[in-house]
Amino acid sequence: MDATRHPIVIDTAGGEYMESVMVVDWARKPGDPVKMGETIVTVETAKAATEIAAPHDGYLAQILHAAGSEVPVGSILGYVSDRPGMAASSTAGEVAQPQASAAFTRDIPAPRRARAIASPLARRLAAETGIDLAQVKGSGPNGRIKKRDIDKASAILPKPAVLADALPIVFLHGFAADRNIWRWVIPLLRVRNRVITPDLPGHGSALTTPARSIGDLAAAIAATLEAEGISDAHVVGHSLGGATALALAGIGALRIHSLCLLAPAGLGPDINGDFLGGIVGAQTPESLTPWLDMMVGDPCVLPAGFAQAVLWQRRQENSAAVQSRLAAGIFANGRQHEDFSRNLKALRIPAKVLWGRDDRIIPMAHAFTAPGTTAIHLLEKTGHVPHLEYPDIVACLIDELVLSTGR
Amino acid sequence: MAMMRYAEALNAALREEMQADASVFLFGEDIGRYGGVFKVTKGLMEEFGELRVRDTPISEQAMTAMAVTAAMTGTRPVLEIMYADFVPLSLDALINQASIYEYIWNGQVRMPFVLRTQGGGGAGAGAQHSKSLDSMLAHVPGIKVVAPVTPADAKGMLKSAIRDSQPVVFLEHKLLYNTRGEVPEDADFTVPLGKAATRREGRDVSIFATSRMVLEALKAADALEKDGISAEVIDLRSLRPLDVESIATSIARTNHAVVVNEGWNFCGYAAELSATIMDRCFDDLDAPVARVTLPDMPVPYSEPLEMAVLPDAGKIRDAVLRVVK
Amino acid sequence: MKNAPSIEEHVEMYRKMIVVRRLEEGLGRLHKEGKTRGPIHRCDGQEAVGVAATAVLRDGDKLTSTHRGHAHYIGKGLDVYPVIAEIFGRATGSCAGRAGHMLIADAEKGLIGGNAIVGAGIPAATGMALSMQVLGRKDVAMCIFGDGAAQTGICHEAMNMAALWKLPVVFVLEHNQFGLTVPSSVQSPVADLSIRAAGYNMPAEIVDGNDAVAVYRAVANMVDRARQGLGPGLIEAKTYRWEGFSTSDMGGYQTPEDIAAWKARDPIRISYDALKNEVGAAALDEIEREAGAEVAAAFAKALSDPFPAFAVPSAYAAYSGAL
Repeated sequence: MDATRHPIVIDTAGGEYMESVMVVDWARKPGDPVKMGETIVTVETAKAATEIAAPHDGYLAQILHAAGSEVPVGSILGYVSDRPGMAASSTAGEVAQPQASAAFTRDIPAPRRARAIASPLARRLAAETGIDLAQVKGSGPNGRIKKRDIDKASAILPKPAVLADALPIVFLHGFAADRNIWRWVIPLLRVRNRVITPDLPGHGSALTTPARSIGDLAAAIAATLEAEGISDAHVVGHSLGGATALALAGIGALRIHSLCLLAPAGLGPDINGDFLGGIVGAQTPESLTPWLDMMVGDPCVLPAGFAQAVLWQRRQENSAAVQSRLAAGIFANGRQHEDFSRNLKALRIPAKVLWGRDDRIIPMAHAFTAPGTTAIHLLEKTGHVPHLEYPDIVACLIDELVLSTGR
Repeated sequence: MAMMRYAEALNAALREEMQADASVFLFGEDIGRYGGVFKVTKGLMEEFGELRVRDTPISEQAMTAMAVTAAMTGTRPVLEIMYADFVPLSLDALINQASIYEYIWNGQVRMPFVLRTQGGGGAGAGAQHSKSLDSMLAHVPGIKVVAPVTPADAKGMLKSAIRDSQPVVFLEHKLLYNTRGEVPEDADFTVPLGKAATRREGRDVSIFATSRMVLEALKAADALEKDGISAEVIDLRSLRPLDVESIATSIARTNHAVVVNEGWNFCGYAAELSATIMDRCFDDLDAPVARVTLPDMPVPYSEPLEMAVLPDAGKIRDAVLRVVK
Repeated sequence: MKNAPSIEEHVEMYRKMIVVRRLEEGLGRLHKEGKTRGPIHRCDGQEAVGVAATAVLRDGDKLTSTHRGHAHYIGKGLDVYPVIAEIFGRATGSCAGRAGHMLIADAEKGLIGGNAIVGAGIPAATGMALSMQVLGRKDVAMCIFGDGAAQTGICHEAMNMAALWKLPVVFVLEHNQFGLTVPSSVQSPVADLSIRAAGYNMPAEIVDGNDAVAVYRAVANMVDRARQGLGPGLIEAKTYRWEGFSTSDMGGYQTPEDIAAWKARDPIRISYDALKNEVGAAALDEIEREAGAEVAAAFAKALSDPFPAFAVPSAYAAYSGAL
């Protein structure tokens, strides 16, 4: 667990993840040694095949998207580890498989072929039910995946296409981020519920929407969802977005069916005021990088060029002034002035709080204010942004919450 | 209904159609005085005279060509070619004549003739009298090819073939002539060409068979039931036009297909069926299509040798077990 | 003289021979200009056989032809215009452009039809005669075939059955001396192929194939027999193919002396000379002029006609797998 994970990503630059790519072939299998710069995985867009180089010397530790998967640009495809013998994070192994079955073990080595061997029928059924063939073990001749294998798999896994009334999942990002921060988690979800990723007021596309308090943020989100005709949803919130989610629960306009809070604000008074100022005020990659490093447990998980991408986008949007004012209103003097733990206690829905043990922005201890009905997941070697640091674990836990409601 | 042998059902069809339509006439080797080597035309010369039931010299090439043009000019000839193995002699008339005229002459002519022949092995007739050349015939556009397996179909489809406005090759099987079954006696009874028949319903695999192989497929289905496999047996009694809809409907239910034809494997009728299934049913297939056919070699004479090459219920069962694995 | 054509019938044969000759010459010109498609088999010099043999027939009688059938087509009553349109693949052709020049048919006129499988026309006519016999009709079928076709096995099968069953069919052997490039002497041990008729107990007659009147009389005798139910007969009409096998023929195997000798016996000239005294040169020249104008007009019209549009022949179940 001491080894460091270096993410393998496609195009980490900012922007919308409109385009998707097909993972064609992994040139290595988990456990194989890799050299920085050598081709580790080939992906294909509608236009061409692109070879993705290993980000670091080490060993291929984990494949998140096997050959044959279609993933958005910007996804983390897998990780390179510094050390051998770490085919996958043990955390992922223990936590990530709430309904584990042999057929769905993520850590099976990806076969070195462009596509899974599956009967045409199995292929069609898998596409209809949203099952990733790469995750299914075939029982036919030559390991061919047959209908019975898909039937078995879909008996275990959600069949979102079958859930006629699957609810949308609303993702609320944190301070100084935007909707794109969810790009690593969303492709890893097994549930196929619709996802809604609004920008909080003062951020991204909602930069000019005025807000002075967390209540304002929640009201704006409630209005956005209402305009979309959404009355019921699952909600995932990170940090400021977590507090917004709790405030949203208090308003009562949206019926929340499950709640997943990632290092949320609003459960206690402490917050790293220096970080808030630093992250908004930095103008160069050199000045931003230390603050970004503070945000995570291990700086290596930040994709190369992340700081430049953040700055580039910030300049496009001219968001620094707006966000400084927002921070001054909500987190004046490095304190949280609004407490929503009462809202969490009042909820009678499946809820989880996730926190990195190495969070240096909001202390993990705030998690313990959660009521006994709320599951608390404390992630090792994780800082303030578990959805960026361990997107696979976060996706699994969201899956588990959504599945537990059956919607 | 009457219990009849397959040969008697054919005889009844010929008699009824000749009684109903004076333009129907028969010609072929040994069909008149002798009544046909398989006795299909027994008694017809006595009833209809030598003008309409004609013994011929051994001249398959010209006889087939003559059937084509006799049909163009007002009659409905029914030509018997004694063995399917002799049909290669008829191929110019079928391929270069019958198949083209309706199209290239822009609908000016119709060719309502029937070429009856019988093929297949199992009778110790050797390499020149045991073949099934279904694919060679069904390959040709513009002619229909049918192969009834039950006595009722033998009668009903022969009547339809005689009434059809296009050339029809009517494939019989030497081991079917003495099989028995209930046959409607109604002179209006016909079985339409172009429709397959489900002989047994099943859930797990569809066996598509032609001619006598339908009987072997039914035996295989019985055996498979003991294996816990529910096999559907579809009789492809119309080889061309092919009832693709029935094939697709069955595969949509069973997701597995085995095709059985007594002809050669390479470029054979079973190959065409496999390709058609791939075209139409690809996304319903849970396994590759399996073929059960004659190996690509001559039919040997000695009984154990002949039995070794002919497709049968055991080989069909093996193929099914392979496919559903 | 028994079965001699009337003057009017002879004049009409003369006119048709000129139509055919102008057709062949026009096709030759257009081929040189690169405007024809596929091989074209001309019958220059042998028009009298096809025109005179078919002049004997009635509309209800049937005719099978060969790949070199232009004289047969015109003789059996087809207008030259749909024939030319068919040769140029136009929608207005006899078969809407589907058949081409070797396979033209006109069922109403009894031409069914051209056939480019050498020998296939022989059982085809025999089958039609079989049908006529079964139905008790008083029609006859005629097969015009070449000395090449006479060597096929199916010729034997068909003639044997025709004679055996006394079918109303007349075999007209248009002996033009060549099977493609190979002279008849290299293909057959006998010069007069009609002696084979004896093997079928069938009457036969050899005639000058460049003399329309001789062909007409000989064929008419055989047609009469056939119509009376006396069975088939064979006419061997000796003639000569002036042009090559087809427009793709490189030539070189026909001697200039032979060609010159046969051209001196041009069937059109022979009829002209025979008719000159009865009809007058001026009238014959006028007929020639009119026939030439008719063919020229037919070429002009056909060449400006539209091409057919392709349609999948879905109406025919047996063609249903075509596309």
